[in-house]
Amino acid sequence: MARRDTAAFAEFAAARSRSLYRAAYLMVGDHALAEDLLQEALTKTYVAWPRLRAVANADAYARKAITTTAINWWRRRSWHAERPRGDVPEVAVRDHSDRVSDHDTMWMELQGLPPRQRAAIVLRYYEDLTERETAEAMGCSVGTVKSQVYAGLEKLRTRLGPAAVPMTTEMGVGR
Amino acid sequence: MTETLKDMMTARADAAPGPHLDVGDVIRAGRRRVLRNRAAGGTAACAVLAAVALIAPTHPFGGADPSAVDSADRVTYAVGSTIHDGNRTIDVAPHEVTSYVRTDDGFAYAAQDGRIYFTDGGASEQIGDSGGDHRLAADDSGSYVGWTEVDGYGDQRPEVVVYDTARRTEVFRTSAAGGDGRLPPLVMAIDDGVVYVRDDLKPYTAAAWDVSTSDPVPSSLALTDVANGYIARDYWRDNAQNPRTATIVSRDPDSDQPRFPRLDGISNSLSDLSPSGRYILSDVGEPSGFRQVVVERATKTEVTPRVVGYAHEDPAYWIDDDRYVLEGYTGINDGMSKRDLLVCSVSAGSCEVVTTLEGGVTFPDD
Repeated sequence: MARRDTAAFAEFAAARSRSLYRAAYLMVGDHALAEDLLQEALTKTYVAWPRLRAVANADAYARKAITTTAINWWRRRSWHAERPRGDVPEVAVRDHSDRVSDHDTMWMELQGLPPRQRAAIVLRYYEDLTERETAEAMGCSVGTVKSQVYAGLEKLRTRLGPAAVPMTTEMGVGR
Repeated sequence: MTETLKDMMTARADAAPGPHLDVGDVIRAGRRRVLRNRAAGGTAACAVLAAVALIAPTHPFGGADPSAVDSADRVTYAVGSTIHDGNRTIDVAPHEVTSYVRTDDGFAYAAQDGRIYFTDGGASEQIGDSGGDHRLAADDSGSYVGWTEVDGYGDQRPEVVVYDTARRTEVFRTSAAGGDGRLPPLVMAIDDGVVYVRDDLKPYTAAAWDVSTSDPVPSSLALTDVANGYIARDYWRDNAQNPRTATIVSRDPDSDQPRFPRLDGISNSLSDLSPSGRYILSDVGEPSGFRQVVVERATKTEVTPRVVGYAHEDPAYWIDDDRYVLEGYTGINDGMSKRDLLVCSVSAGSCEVVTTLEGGVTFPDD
């Protein structure tokens, strides 16, 4: 009873690893580190497997493991903490036609955010989680999610301009 | 800057290469961590005798009819180097018990290094070496214990071994059970002299052998338990392409009836049969989540004992054909927090706390 169903876990890992890896990559910004993060999160999920019971539970657990592990790694590795950016873009004079450049700039700015702000934004706006789901994944309160998201978006707006990160967006703020 | 943040993240994620993930590596790492957690629990776990006294058996391994023994005598769990058996304890130090089973003659257990030992309450005797895979299986009564052996590097074909604790000798060995060194086959059950093996490598294969003759015996894919000739297995729609949706319990390994409800999707507290196959204990999904139910196989009637006051209940094992052991959590069911150990009786329709646990505990494989 409560045995680890290896086949079911293997199927879960195979089916969900790509999606989990994408979120991990957005959180850490490095492919090799994202793979390490995925491996660690799935290992934790395997250990918890007998208690998870259903796909939704396993998915939520793995996502939480990705998020909290990433944040803990950042805490331990100071070089992954917020990266000071002295090269604040001159948003008023940017050429909006340069899509690739904009893309890269926004990516760099996202990766420059503190870990918890970055995780909250990835979960809210890439994973499309609600504030409550984001709070569960981060292991914090809904209020903390709101403040982390607000602070992160404010920094991005400051650096990238309101056109890139509008105050009221289609992103579903406040769900 | 025309791209929204979401667009950028989606584009970045889409452009990321697929992860190089070896699920076998994950499973092996997970197994090692489970073993470490159990060993760590040995130093922290404690058990507090609660309201219901456990009655000491006068002759625990004397071949007595198990049904004649008070069920409390059959409550067992292991913490670190100690196997609790009713209200007596067996110290197997320096070994740490990572998995174990009860036979009519005593306990067979796997230590952290994967070696398999047997104790009848006295000194332990090594009876095998799993090479790392720690799952054991035994019948509800009898003297056979089975496991899978792999070499340390996963280079050789896994072998399934059955040992007779009455005769103190190995009685069956085969390398024809499928799997490989990364995902060896699991000995899922021993029932009425037949060892049932489940190969979790695709394509799945079903394997079972009569231990006394070594003849192959018909078995079922996705088998989860066998008791008294009844085989419980997952029912999948469309050849495993869709989530399992029911449990089939039948003596016919090819039958797809009768089906019993279970939780959709993955379900890890596998449907378990009572020793005679009379009852099925499994999870079913409900709008509020899931819960464990006991169903009488012949009538499909739910006969779940009443248990109240817990946020989560995790079943552990059947003691006999009426009673099973359950962990009751008031908080998160993480396998470590303080929780009650209960014995639930189908005939009484209720559960009673027998002890309180905290920390890592190992229950017998079945």
